[in-house]
Order: sequence, then C-alpha cells, then structure tokens
Amino acid sequence: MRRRHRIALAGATFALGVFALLPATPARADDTSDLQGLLNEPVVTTASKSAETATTAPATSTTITAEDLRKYGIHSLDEAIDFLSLGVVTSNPLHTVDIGSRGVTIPSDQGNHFLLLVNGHAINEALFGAARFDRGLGMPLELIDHIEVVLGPGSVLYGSNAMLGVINVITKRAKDMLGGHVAIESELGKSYRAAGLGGFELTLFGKPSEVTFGLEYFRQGGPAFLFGPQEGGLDNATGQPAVYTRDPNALPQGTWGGRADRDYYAQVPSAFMRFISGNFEVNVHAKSYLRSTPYRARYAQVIKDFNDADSYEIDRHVWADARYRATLSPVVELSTRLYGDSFDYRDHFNASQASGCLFDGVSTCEYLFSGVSRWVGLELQSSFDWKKDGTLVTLIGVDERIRHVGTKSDALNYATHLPVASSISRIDRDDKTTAAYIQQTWQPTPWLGFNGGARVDYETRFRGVVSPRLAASANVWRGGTLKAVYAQAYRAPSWIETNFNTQGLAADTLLPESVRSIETSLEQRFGTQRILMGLFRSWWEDLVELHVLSDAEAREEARKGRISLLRSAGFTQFRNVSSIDDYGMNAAYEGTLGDAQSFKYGMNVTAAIARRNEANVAQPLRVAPQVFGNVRVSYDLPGSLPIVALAAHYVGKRPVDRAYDGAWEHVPYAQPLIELRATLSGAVPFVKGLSYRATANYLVAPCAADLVGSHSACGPYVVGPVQAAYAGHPRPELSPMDTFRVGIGLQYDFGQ
Amino acid sequence: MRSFAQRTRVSIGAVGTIGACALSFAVAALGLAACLDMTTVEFVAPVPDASPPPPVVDAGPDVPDVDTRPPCDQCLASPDQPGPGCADELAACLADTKCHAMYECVVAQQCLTKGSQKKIILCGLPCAESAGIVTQDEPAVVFVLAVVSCLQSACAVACKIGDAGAVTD
Repeated sequence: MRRRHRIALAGATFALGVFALLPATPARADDTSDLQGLLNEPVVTTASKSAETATTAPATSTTITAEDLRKYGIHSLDEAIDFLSLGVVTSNPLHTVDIGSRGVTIPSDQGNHFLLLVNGHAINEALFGAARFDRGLGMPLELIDHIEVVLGPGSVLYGSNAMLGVINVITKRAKDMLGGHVAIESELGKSYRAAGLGGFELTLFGKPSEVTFGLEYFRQGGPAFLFGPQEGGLDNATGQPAVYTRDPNALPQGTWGGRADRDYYAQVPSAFMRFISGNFEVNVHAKSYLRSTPYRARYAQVIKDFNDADSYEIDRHVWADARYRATLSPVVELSTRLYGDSFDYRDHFNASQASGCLFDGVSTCEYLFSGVSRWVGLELQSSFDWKKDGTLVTLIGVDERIRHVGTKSDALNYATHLPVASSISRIDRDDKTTAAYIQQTWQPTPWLGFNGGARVDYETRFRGVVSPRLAASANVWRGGTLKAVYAQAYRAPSWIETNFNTQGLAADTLLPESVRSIETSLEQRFGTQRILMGLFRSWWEDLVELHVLSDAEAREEARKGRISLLRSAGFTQFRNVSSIDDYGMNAAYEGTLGDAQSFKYGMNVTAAIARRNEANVAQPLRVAPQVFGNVRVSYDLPGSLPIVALAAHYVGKRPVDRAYDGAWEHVPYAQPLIELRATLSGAVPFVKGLSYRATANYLVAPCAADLVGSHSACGPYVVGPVQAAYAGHPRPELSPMDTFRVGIGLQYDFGQ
Repeated sequence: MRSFAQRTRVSIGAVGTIGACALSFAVAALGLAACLDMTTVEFVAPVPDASPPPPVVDAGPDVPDVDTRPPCDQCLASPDQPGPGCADELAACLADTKCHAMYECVVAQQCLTKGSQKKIILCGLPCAESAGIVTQDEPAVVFVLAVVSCLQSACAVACKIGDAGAVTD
C-alpha cells in the first residue's frame, strides 16, 4: 500500500510541476508558438516503418536528437536513454548494461528483450539475442542524427526480441555533416576516444548520391575499485582455503577482495559507412568490443581470478545492409533489402581456484568459450497507398533469414596454454527463419487514425508465432491527442538457452517468451509546450530463466545419467519458469521558452508495479526500478557564449540480482540513486571550426548500512565468491559504481 | 569563392577517391571480422608413467608371514587405537556396497598415494562413477571421505602426504 501511495505522490508531484510551469507560457493571439510546436514535433519512422509524427505513431516514443546528445554531454546510448528518454532505464554492472522498460528489467539478458536497430537494421544476434546498448554499440555519437526510443511490444513489424521496445539509431545524412570532422574526448583519467567522420555529396551515374562515414576508437581503463574482503571458505578439492589468484602473495589465504586496479577496462574500435545513390542505399558497420569486469558474479565469470587483467570478453560484429526502393506507380512502392551479419564472441578467463580447475598438474586453468552467430537475409516489402494521399495504406512484407550458430568451450593450462581437455559445449547448427507481416493504416478523417497489423514468424525450433497490434489515435480537441494501443510481442529463445549448458544439462523443450500489452495515452500541446500522460499494463508469459535445480531434481537427472553430481554442484537449466504482471503510468513534459527557443526543458517519469510470478509466488523484479525518470534544462546563452545544460536521472530502490536465491538475512535492496550531469558546450572563440564540450557527472547512491562493502555506492548486483549467505556472511557485497567523472571534448570541422 | 559545402558536391571524377575510401573501409571491416577459430580440440591425455606394480612375492610355506602390502595400505588397515590407523573408517566403507566397490577401484588405481586431496579426488572420481555413486550426499561418499580424511591425518606419513595441504595442483 505504501508503494502505491509513493507512486500516487510521484504522479501528483509531476502534475503539480507541470501546472506550475504552465503560467510561464501565456498564449498570445499573434504568437507563433503553435507553429513552432508543430515544427518541433518529432517525426518517427520506427513504429510503423513509415514517417509519421510521434503523436499519431502506434506507440509511445521518444526522439533524442543529435543536439540533445551534444548539449547534455551524452557519451553513449545508455546515457542517452537514462538522461533523455521516457520509460526506459539501464543498469550498469560494470559489464554490458542491462536495459529495462516501464518496471521490467531482466538482469544479465544481454539486451535480448529490447530490439536494437541501426538505420532499420536489426542488431540482436541469434546466439544470445545480444545487443549492446553502451559503448559497445560502436557508433560515433557525432554520426548519429537521432535516436528513436519506442516503448512496448514491437514484434508486429520486427519479429523476435522487440518485447520491451525498439530503439532505432538513425545516422546523419551527408547534408548534415558535409566535409571532414575529427573529435577527441576524454573522461579524465578513465577513458578517451578519437573519431574521424565525413560526409560527401556527389553525382553518380546522373543520380544525386552521398557517402557518410565514421571511424572511432574508444578506450577505457578504470577506475579502480575496492572489494571485500570476503572469506571464501575451504576449497572442496584441496581442503585448504580457496585460492583466488595466481600470485600467492597477492591475497591472504582464503580471502577474495582488495583493490582491483587492473581488470576494469574496455576497447571499442569501430567503423561505419552509409552510401546512398538515388533509391539505393548501403550501410556497413564493423566493431569490436573488448571488456573486462572487475568482479565475480553469478553471470560474470563466476570463478575468475581476482584483479586479473588477462580475463576478458570480446565480441565482434560486422554487418552490411543493402536496400533498394522502387516507386512503381503513385500507389505502389516496392522495397528490397539484402543483409548479412557476422557476430562472434569470446569469453576468456583464468581460474586458480582448485575446485574450478580439476585437472591434474594444473594450478591455473585458462578457460575459453567461443561462439559465432552469422546470418544472411532478404526482406521484400510493398506498400500500397490506395488513395494516393496517405490516408489508406497497406504494407506487406516477407523476411527470410538463413543462420548459423556455433559454440565450444576449451580448458587450457594457463602456464603452457596447452589444452587439458577436449572441447565441450559444442553447438554447430544451421537453420532458417521465415516471417510475413501486414500492416494497414487508415485515417478516415483528419482527426482519427487507425493502425492494425500482424506478423507471423516461423523457425525450426518452434511453431509459428503471431504478433498482432491494433492502435487508434484521435485528435479529440485542439492540441490534444488520445491514443490506445494493444500489441503482442515474442522472443525466440536464444541458441544458448535451447542448446547449451556448461554443466551438461541442456534445456528440454523451450517455448518462445510472449508479452501482451495495452496502453493508452493523452498528449496535449500548448504552443511549444507538450505534456503526455500514459497508462500501461502488460502480461509476460513463459520467461526463460536459468533455473537452479533442487536437490531432488538434480538427483533425478543424475540417475538418468544426464549430469554428474560428483564433479559439480549447483546445476542449472534454462526453463520457461515465470511470468510477469506489470502496470503503471508514465508521463512526459517538455517545452521551450523565448523567441529563439533558447531555454529548453523536459522531464520524464515512470512508475510501475511489476511482479514476477513463479509457482504462485509473486515478488518484485530484481534489478528493475519501479520508479525512475529524468529531468533536463538547457539555456543557449546569447552570442558566442556557451550552451549550459543540466540533467539528472533518478532510479528508485530495487532488489539486487540475487535477492531471492541467496538465503540472505534480509532481502537486499540497492538504494535509490540520482545521477547529475552538468555540461558546457559551444564554439571555441577565435578558432573557426573548433568546438568543445565539458561535462561533470556526479552520482549520489547511498549504500545501505547493513550491507557489506567499503564503497560510497552500491549497485544492484551481488559480487564476489559469496553469492549466497552462510553463517559468517549473512549479507551480500554489492557492486560498486563510478561516482564522479569529469570530461572534456573537442571537435574540429574542416572547411568551415 | 565556393563554400566548402559546395566544394563537397563532387563530380563523378571523385568517385575513384571515394571508392578507394570505401575499399579501405571494407578491408578494415573484414579485418575486424576475421573468423574465430571454431575447430574443436580433441584432447588425448598423456600416457602415464607405466612403471610396473610392486612384485608379488610368493613367500612360500617356509618363509615367516611378512606383510608385503605398501605401508599406506598397511596403515589404513591398522586399528585406529592405538594408531596410527584407519581401520574403523575402512570397515564402515567396506560394509557399504558402493563404497566397497569404489575403495577396491581406488586401491587398484593407487589413488590414495597421489599426494594431494585434489589428485586423490581426480583419481577417485571415475571409481565413484563406476561404483554407481551419482550424488555427493550418498552414504558411500560420506564413508569414503571419512577414509580419505583419516588417511590425510593418521596415515599421512605412511601414504607420503605429509605436505598434502600445500599441494594444490
């Protein structure tokens, strides 16, 4: 009940804030604010694969512009989401970030419940369903024109993974970045990046053509964090205190922790190119994402040595997408898209713990997991504008994809780098997916619009999945738009989930996850002011999770000969184990003041109540905040003075990732956090073409007094070898956060 | 004077330059995408040093009865009191069918003289599996661990595992 009161209070606070601001913008009969408001209205293409205003699109969406990215000191996609988007939030385990929406976050899912697009090309791969929403995106921010963040199920046009929503990163056209550009930026003492970009227009075979490209290298090292100390107990294999390092003098016997100053780093070289000639377009993107995380956790290198710089993960992704549009008549337009992706992943870690390295004569094991995921596809799409005015349009399409996935796990002797066992966990599979979709839009009157459609997806591992959507929007009064959407989406289990388990227990039959969602929203514009209030509810079924086998289940599997309980313990298996019931509200307010719109502001708030249900037990979702939001304000000082921008985002209290399966004394929660960001940006005086931005970031995240750890901040992830309570360790140690960062960047535009 | 924006609208003559850039880009992209080696490793364990087992001495009827078993086995079979010995633990193990089978295998494989607990476990795991032990909480495991524990304390000298605790590999 108290939670509901808090949510109601948040809503009331938001509404009061909005109405307090409204008198600041008195309407004038002769003003141009209505026109400015219309001009400011974002156009989105993601929700229905065609250009439309965000107000009438069949989903709630946020458009983050290049101007926003620069002005608010944004460095990566996850920062853009946290500081500027509505309804989406990320959580950083110092690994790849978790991304959630409207009360639902699935920790360590590698982003596979959110579909990520770059210029309409789906990034999520088949092995894990993974997409990187952090620096691992590998896209220079200077190259991004805008980011469309669409909330809610989006499988109707995009198929698997679009359960929480769809994020489409749209790159700039050549006209918006003509010439060459270089940019360097550093978060002092922690990271730097350098980028070279260019945009050129040309005439090719008599057709207007253009090339845009970007090359970037990002490197991060640190900061150092303090962990523990945690007493790891006796090693089952030796009967002696567990060993967490190759250096016998580095840590006290049986202890994990200390200063980790070598194993928190990342490197991301990337390249992107877009070529357009007439109706023909090619996008090519390549990136490599090397990273190391400084702690052990259930999902992050469970047995790796402490402070080991040689333990890391790397993924590489190259894709190309070629499309051609042909207008056959004023009614019919055809589009063909041929695409191909190559993704591979390597997890490389070293373990000196004897029970994690059961090989004769080997004191440190070097484990290497390798995975590949490759696919090519062809999408054909036709649209029929029956009345030639966009009021009655049918879109149909088919999408066929051929895929290959492969994995293997190897164990080597760290001292010799020679194998000590044969490869295990082998997957080597090819398959085919086929999808067909149809969407009908109908605008019978200028104030009323409908959008309905469905998509059917087939693949070899399960029977067809249908994802329908029905949406209606109505301009109920001047400036007011009422919208209602029903949508379904699904996620095909990844190949890792269906075919892989390091401990030999592959999944039995897995069903695709599904979500049904209804939402309604009211958007009102007053000149340059915009307010949106929305309500949503969603039902999630058949969520695939790593189920820890009970003793009875493990014994039964051992009797069947599927596992050996002598060689290992804590067996897990991917299963369809849970459902989620989620409902709540979100709200947004944004606007500008001044004739030159030099003063801009906005805020987004989401409050949700989400419960995960398993075996008739309902619990709050782990890592998922139920209240979160952001607020921003910027002022463009006159003349050559800089733009001053302040932004903040808030994340409420949330249970930690092992809140319920660690047998802790109390259910551990990560405390609320507020992240503050101040940015100055502008042109460097007297140097034509040179611009700068400077950022300062401060994170306020108190650590609960009853938790272990010496940090000033505590994240929602349990770290260290103690992942469950025992007599001497009743409370978990939580992940640290980087609390203060200062950054400076310069950009030079050639030829200005 | 033309602006830079005007100058960047190039004629088809510049296509070669852009094509070269695109080619360079493609090469860089392909470099990043160098295929991951997915060849599986087929590990063949090195052949252990096949030194012959100690000779069985047929003492014959005229020779005094001498215990020819290795000192480790002798110690294990000796009574706990006054010691050193592990006869009680061994008796409990031999009374259990699975533990008995495992023990016989362990002795045949000379696992108990491997020098460290890790090596004993590594050597004994196949024996446990062949004896039909499937979980760590079966009584047979408790019995055999009691034997191993006793061996590491009471019979450590006889079984040459005096530094067993320090051996981790």
